[in-house]
Amino acid sequence: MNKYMWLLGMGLQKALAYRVNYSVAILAAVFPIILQWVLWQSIYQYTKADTLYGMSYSDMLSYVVLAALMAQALRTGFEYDMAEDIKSGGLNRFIVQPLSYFGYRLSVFVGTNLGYFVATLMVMALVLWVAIQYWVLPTQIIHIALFVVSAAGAFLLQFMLFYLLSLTAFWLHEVWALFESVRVISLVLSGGVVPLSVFGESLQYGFSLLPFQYLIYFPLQTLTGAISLEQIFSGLLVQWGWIAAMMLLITVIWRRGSRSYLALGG
Amino acid sequence: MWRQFIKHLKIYGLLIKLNAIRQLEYRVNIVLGLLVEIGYLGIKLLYAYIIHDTGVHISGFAPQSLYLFIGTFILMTVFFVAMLQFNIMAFDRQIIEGEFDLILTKPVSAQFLATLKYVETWMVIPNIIVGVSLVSYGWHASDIAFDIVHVGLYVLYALLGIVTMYCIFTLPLLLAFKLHHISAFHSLVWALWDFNNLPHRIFPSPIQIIGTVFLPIFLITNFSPLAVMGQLSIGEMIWGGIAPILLFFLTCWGWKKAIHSYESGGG
Amino acid sequence: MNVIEVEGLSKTFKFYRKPQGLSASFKNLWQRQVEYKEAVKDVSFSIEQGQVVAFLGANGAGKTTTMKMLSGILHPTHGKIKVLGHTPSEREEQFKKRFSILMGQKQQLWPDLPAIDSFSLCQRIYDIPTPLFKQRLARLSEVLNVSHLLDIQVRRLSLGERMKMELIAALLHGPELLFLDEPTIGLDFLSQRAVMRFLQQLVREDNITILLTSHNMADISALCERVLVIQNGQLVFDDRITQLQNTLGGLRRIHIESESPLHSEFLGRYGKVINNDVHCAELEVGDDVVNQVLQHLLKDIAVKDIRVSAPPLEDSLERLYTRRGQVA
Repeated sequence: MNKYMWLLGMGLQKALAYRVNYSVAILAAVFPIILQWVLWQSIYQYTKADTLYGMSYSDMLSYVVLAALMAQALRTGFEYDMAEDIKSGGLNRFIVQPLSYFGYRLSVFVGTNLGYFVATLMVMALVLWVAIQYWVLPTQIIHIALFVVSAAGAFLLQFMLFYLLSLTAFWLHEVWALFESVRVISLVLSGGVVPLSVFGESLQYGFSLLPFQYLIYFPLQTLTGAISLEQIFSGLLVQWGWIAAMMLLITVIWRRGSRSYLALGG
Repeated sequence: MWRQFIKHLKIYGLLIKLNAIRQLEYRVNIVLGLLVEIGYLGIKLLYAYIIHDTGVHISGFAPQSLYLFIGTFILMTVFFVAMLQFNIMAFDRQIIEGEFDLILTKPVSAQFLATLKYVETWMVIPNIIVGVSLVSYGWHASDIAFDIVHVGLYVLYALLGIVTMYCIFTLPLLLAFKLHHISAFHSLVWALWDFNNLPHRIFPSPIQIIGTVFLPIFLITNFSPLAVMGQLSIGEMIWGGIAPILLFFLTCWGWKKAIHSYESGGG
Repeated sequence: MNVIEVEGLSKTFKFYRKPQGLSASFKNLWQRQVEYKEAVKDVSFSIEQGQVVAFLGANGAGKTTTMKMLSGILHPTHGKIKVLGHTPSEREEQFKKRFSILMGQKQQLWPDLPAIDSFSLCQRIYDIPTPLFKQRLARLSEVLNVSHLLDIQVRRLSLGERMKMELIAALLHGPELLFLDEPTIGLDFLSQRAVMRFLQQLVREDNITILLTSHNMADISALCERVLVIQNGQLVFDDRITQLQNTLGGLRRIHIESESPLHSEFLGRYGKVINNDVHCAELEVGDDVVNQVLQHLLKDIAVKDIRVSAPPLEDSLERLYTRRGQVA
C-alpha cells in the first residue's frame, strides 16, 4: 500500500477513536443554522419583500443552511500540529525519512476530514433534496457535478491556506492568534455566515479579488444554480488558479523557512 | 461558608492581576488576540447591521431595542472570553498531563482552580467598548429611565446571567473525566453561545421553553434587557432568580461527585 | 508518633486496549476491550515523624501510584491509609495544609511570572499570615541562595534555580510532611547537591518527614536512613539502607592495585571478577570470607593498595529488582 494512503487511513483512525467528539461536532453545526433561520424568517416576514440582497426567502434559507454545513466540512486543526512540528523539531523526522512533509500533512488532513466531509455532504444532499422539493431550487445534475469539483477545490484551497499560515511558525513564536483571526475573517469573507451579496456591490467586488469566496460562496452558488454555466467555469478556473498560486507560494516559503530552520539546527 | 467565599474572591482578584501581568509580557499576542476578538465582534455586529439595514422588528422590538440585546450579548461575551474560554480549552489537557492532580492537593476548591485559573484581560477591551456603547445607545433610544431601580435590575440579572453562564459551560467539562478528549464539545459550546446573539423571543416557543427552563442558556443575556424594558412576567422574573442558584448548586454537586471518584490519568 | 500508616494497600487500574488496524478502530466504536492492571498490591508500612524515607523501584513499579494515594489524589481500591491522622482520600482542607507534594517533572510556578508572584498566590491559597509568609520566604530563599532571583521570570531561571523556587513554593505553608517525586531529575551535579543539602538541613531543623522517590542513588544515600523498595506493585524491602546490601547475601567488593600484572583466572578462584585492568582489579566476594581472601591476596600478590567496600547501591537494587521479578 502506498505510504500516503496508509497515512490517510491513520488519520481516519484517529478521527474514529474519538467517536463522541465526532458526532457532537456534527450536531454543533445545527445551532447556527437555527439562529440564521429564525432571523431571516422574521426579516422576510417583517419586510414582506420578495427578495432581499438578491435572494428570495427560500434561496436565503438554503444558502445559510448549506453554508453552515460547508463551513463545518472545511474544519481544520492540523495547523497547530504543524506549528508544533516546526517549533519543537518534529520536522527532523522528515528530513531523514523519504517522506514529503506536504504529502504527509495532506494525507493526514484528508484522512481526518474525509469521514467528516462525506457525512456533511450527505446531510447537504438531504437539505438540497428538501430545498429542491419544497423551495423549487433550480438545481440540475450538471450543477451538482460541478459543485463536487468546486467543493474538492475548496477543500484543497482551505488546506493550502492553513498550510501556508502554519509556515509562519518558522518565524513567529506564538501562532494561535494568527490562525484564529484568519479563521474568523475567512469565515466571513468566504460567505460562511451570510451570502456576500449582503455586503453590497462595492465590498462584494473587493471580496471577489480575494481567494476566500472560493471556499464557500462560489461552490454554493454553483450548487444552487444562482450563476450561469460560463460564470461557473470561469470561477472554477480562478479557484484552481488560486490553488496553484498558493502551492507555488508554499514551495517558495517552505524553502526559505526550512533553510532558516536548518541553519538554527532544528 | 462566607469566609470561604471571601477567600476565593480574594484569590480570584489576585489571579486577575497575575494574568494581566503575565499577558503584558507578550505584547504581540495581545495585539493578535485583539484581532481575533475584533473578528468575532465583526460577526456579532453583522447581525446588528442586517437588523439596521432591513429595519426589522423582531417580536415587536424595534431595532434600537435590539441593539440593547446585542450590546448585552457582547458584554456577556467579555465575561465568557475573560473567565471561561481559556479554562475550557485548557481543561482536558490539565487532566491528561496530570496538572489536575496537583490542584487536588491544594486547600482550595479544586473546581475553582480548575475552571477559573486563567483570566483573559487585555483582549476583551474592544468588546467592552463596543458593548457599553451599544447598550447605552439602545438604553437611551428605547427611552428607558436611567435610575437606580433600572440599572440595579439590569446589573442583578446580568450577575445572575454570569452565574448561569459559568454553570452551563463548566458542567459539560465534567465529561473530560470520562472521555479525556473533549475538543468537539468546544465547538458545541461556541455554537450554543452564539444562540444569544438575538433576543430569544425570536425563536419558536418550544425552543424558547427548552432554552429558558431545561438548558437555561437564554437566561444569560436576555433577562437583563428584558427586565429593564419591563417585558418580563412575574413568573419569568422569579425563575430568572431561582434558576441560576439551583444550577449553581447542581454544578457544585456534580463537581463534588466527579472529583470524589476522580482517578488520575497517569499510573 | 507515626506520620504515615499504610495497611494492605492495593490499587487496580482499568484501561482500554486498541489493537492495530482500521477494522479494529471500527470495532472499537461499539465495543472496547477492558483490561485491569494491579498497580499496587497489598502494601503495608509506617513512617515516623522526622524520618526521611526513600521509595525505590523501577519505572511503573507503583511508586508514584502509592504516593498519589498517600496525598489523596487517588483512591485506594483496598486497604487503609492514615496520613497525619487523616484519611487522604477525603481530601480535607486541614489535611492539605499540613503536607506538600513536589513532582520534579511538573511545574507549579507560572513560567511567565517572577517566582515572588506565584508565591503570593501560594500565600492566598494556604492562608498564610503575611508576617509568617515574609519570615519563611526570607529564610528559605536565603538558605537556598536565591534571594536575588525572586523578581526574575521563572522561565529565565536555570533548571536548578527553578527547582529551588518550586521547593520554596512547596514549603511556604510549613508542611509537616513532604512528598518528593524525583526532585533532582534533570539537574546538574551541583544543583543536586545543593537541593540535597537543603533537605538535610530542613529535616534537622524542622523535624519534617520526607518520603522521596528518585533514581539517583547519590541523593538517597546522602539523605535517607530507610529504604522502601517496590517491585511489580509489591513491597519487597523495608529497612535501613545499609541493610539493603546485607539482605542480598552480604557481598563485599575488594579493590586491588598491584605492581605485578593481575590474572583473572587467578583472582577468579576467590570470587567474581567485576573488572580487571591488569594492574587494577575489582573482586566481589561473600562477606563471610572477606578476611580469608584478603590474607591470601596479600600473600600472593605484590599489593600496592587494597580496599574493601560495599557494592554500589545500584547493583544491589538491580539484583533486588531482577530477583523478585523472577519470583513474581
